[in-house]
Formats: sequence, C-alpha cells, structure tokens
Amino acid sequence: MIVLETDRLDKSYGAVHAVNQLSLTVESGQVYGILGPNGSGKTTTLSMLMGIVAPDGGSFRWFGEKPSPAANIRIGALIETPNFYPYLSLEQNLKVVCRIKGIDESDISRVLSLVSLRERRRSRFATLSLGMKQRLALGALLLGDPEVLVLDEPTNGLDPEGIAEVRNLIRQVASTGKTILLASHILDEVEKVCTHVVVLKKGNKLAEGKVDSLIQGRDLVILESEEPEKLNSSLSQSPLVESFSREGLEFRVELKPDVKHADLNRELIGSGIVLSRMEVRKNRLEDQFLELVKQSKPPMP
Amino acid sequence: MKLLKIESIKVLPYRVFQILGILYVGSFLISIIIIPNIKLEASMVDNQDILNFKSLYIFPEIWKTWAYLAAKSNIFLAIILLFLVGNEYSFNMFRQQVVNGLSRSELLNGKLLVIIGIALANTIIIFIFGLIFGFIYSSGYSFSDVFSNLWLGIYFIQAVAHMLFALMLAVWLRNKTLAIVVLIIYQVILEPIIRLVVKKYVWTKLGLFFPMRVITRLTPLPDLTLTEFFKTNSDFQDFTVSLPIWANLLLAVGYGTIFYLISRQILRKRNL
Repeated sequence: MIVLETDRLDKSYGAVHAVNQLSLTVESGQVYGILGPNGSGKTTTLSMLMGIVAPDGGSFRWFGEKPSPAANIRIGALIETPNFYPYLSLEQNLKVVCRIKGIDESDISRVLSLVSLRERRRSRFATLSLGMKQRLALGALLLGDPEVLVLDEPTNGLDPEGIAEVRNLIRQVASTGKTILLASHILDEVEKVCTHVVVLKKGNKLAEGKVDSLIQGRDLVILESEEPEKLNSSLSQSPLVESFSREGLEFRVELKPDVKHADLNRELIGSGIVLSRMEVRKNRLEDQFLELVKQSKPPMP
Repeated sequence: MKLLKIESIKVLPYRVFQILGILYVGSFLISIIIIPNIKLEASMVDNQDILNFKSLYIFPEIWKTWAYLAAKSNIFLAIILLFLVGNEYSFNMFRQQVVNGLSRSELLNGKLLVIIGIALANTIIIFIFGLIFGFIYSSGYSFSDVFSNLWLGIYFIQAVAHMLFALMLAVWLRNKTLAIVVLIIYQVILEPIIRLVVKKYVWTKLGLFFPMRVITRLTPLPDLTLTEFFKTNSDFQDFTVSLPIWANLLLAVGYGTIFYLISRQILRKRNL
C-alpha cells in the first residue's frame, strides 16, 4: 500500500530553490530516509507534507487522499525542534496533543515511560534539558500509536547515549511494521535505520533506492605494485575483476560478486606479481553519498 | 468542545493570563469602590448634586455606569489576547498544532472561543458585583430595574470587538511585543490624531466611524446631570457627541467581523 506519494513538489524561498520537482513514493512498512546536507530541502519537504508550508507547485497525497488535518492526525510528526508550551507541564502539553488527535489521555503515561520521562511528568517543559525535550517530542509523536512517523533530524542535539536510544526506539517502532519517514544529514543514521533512501542536494533528487543496494556497492580493493604494467595487464585479463581504474601507481579494483580479495591475491601471486600494497575499502553508502553530494567537508558522524 | 478544552488547558495555567486577569478585575473593583466616595469641590458648578456619584450606583443606572467603567480598561483584555496569540507564534505552536492535526480555521476558532470566554467571564463578574453594589446603594427598585442588563450585553460585544482587533494585529504581526506596541500606539495616539485631521479637513462626523472610536464609545458616559453639563459645555463636546447606539453597535459588529475575516485570510495564506 502506498502511504505517501509526491508529484513534482516544488518550493522556492526568493532566489533559493529549496525543493525542485521532487517526486517520491513511500510504501507501507518502509523506513524511508531523506538524506542530504543542511540546506538540501529536507525540512522544507517535510513542512510541505505536514501542511505548514504551501508548495509552489506539485502535489502530494497521504494514504491516497488529498492532504487534510485528518491525515495529519494519523501521523506522528516531529519537524525541526520539539515544540511545546514552556510554561505547561509535560502532562499538560501531552494532553493538548491528545485532545487534538482525539486520543485517550490514559496513553500519556505509556509514552512517558517509553521515553523515560515519567518521573518528570509534572515538571514544566521549560525545565527540561535539550535531550529530554527531544525525547518528549518523540513521546508525543508516539501518542495514540500512529501508523506513520515523520522524523526530522530526530537525534539532533543528543549525546551519544541519547542517539543510541533514539535509534533503538525507531528500529523498535519500525519492527512493528510502521512506516517511517526520516530526514537526516547523518549518513550513518540512515544506513543503520532505513530500508529506503532518497538523497537530496540543494532541493534536487540525486539518488533513490533501497539502502541495501546502495550500500551493497562492492568493496573496493586498492593495489600497488613495483611492476605496474604487469599488474595492469594481469588485471585486465582476470576473470575475478569487474572493473578497475588506475591513478599513477594506485589501482582501484572492483571485484565481481562473491569474489574475495584473497582470491585476487592468490591469482596475482600465481601470475608472479608481487604487491607492495593491498587495501580493502568498504564501499559504503558514505562514499557514494560523499561522491553524490560532493561536499567540501564530510558530514560529522 | 474539543477546541474549548484545548484552549482551557493552554490558557488557564498561564501566569501572564492570571496576573493580567487579576489586574483587570482588581483595577475595576478598586475604581467602583472609590468612585462613590469621591467628593468634588467644583466651584464652577452651582448645583453640587450633579457631583453625587452615588446616584450612578442605583438600579438600573448602575449597569450603564459599570459597563462604561469596565470598558475603560478593555485595552487590558486586548493585551491579554495579544499575549495568548503571540505565544502561539513565539513557541511555534500554531505550526505544531497544524502538524498534530488541527486545521488552520480551528486555530483561529480556538482563539475566537478564548475571546468569547474572556468577555463572558468579565460580563458575569461585573454582573455579580453589580448586584452586590446595587443592593447596597439602591433603596427603591423593581425587579426589572435589577435585571435590565442591556448595557452589559453591549459591553460584551464591545469587549469581543476590541479583542478581535487585537487578534488581527497578533496574527498579522506574529510578534507579541510588536503587536502590543502597535495596539497601544494605534489606539491611544494614531487613530485619535487621524480622527482629528479628518474631522477638521474632511467631514466633521467621519471621525465617529473609526474602529477604536466606535468600539470604545459603545458604552456611553452614564446619564447624569453631570453628563448634561458636559453636553452643554462645548469644551467637553468630544466626550459626548456620538452616533446613535444602534448605529454604533452595528458598526462594532461589522468591524469585529472584518477583523476576524482578515485574520482568517492571513492565517490561511501564510506559512506557519
């Protein structure tokens, strides 16, 4: 079942083209990552999908229907920062959410325990630490056990322990078959949590697909030898090699499926080539991400 | 009902709301307690009876007096409303509530309920204290005198219209500090100046149709011999010259509706 479908969504802020003709489809049960550096249009996209920013062009459908408050009620969403009334207690804040979504207030204590904030339920929201605020926001979006979660940088501002907790929570929720839309600039997060991913850069879609197949990109083997010409000819004839490229003395080799780098080594020894260097690089989504996005700086892990 | 419950969870525990509310009711109570005890030494007036404020506290005159007095501090109510709506913007809560599944018109109608609630609560408070003071100061009164509450009804409409003006400012400016400054400057300085100018150069009566003039003058100066004195003394004409009550009332309802519709239009179009 298709949960979300966007058709050429478009949004500009003045001269900045925040989202450019973005079409994507999210199906039921997918954990769908929107990956891109800051300013790539992730939040704008989610804001349009949640009805707080009007698209300049294009359209989208939740659950096959035109966007409406009724669709939002079925979605638990966290956009940008956790927003609550600072002067109200956690409980009072969640009561407001319950009333909006028509959820029984008895669900409040369940989600507060889930995000380990039960003891703080009578504290004012303003007194929480940033990590607690983020956890409360996650708790709020789990109220009423919604079918779909929309998460915008859910681990922003958390300490490593908090990050691990949040990711576990997401995986736990995902394992119950819920559909999750997750925007992040952290590749590792998308890789660890998502099943599908779209990569955005400056509002443009760069790549889309299953995380597995994007990650699966086979390992890269880097070779050097004191006899590069011999190595060159040997590699071009080898049945184990899918492709290779040469940069000076360095050969970057991509092996055929299921071929281990030891197999290659054995073959090269057999043809009398002595390697001065052999290095295996995991060709993970990260390399592709960096390549796709061509940032000057890699994203902070 | 859903909106009413949501708003009450949000509004009632809000400290600024509590404090401003107490200030509003408190200042009103103090003024009604002090006024009957004022004794004016006015040498320019021959008949000292016209300065007897106690006559204002007798049924049914008391309702008119009190509606007039309460309305004098309606700007407090407008400021309370600016705080409440301004908060929705400064805490990003209009945004969050739409994300959670409220429609934009529900956002606005929630605020409309707050406005009606505040106006209604005030009207009831005035009514209760009016009864108490009325029984203290009146001697001969009939049942119909006690319950002729036309003026309180008008006060209610006046308070609602005034707060709708504040609602429009808050939705338009999205910043409570700015909105409060604009409200005060417009109401106290800007509109009176514009009124003076149009009165002088355009049409004498045009000034009477401006929104703040219409809204603040719904409840007129109580009928007293003192009022007669103002009416006959040209220096005070501006206090008493007014449109007929029904016209003023109609205009106020019209203005209130316009403020509401403008707010709705702004809220519907803008990104949150």
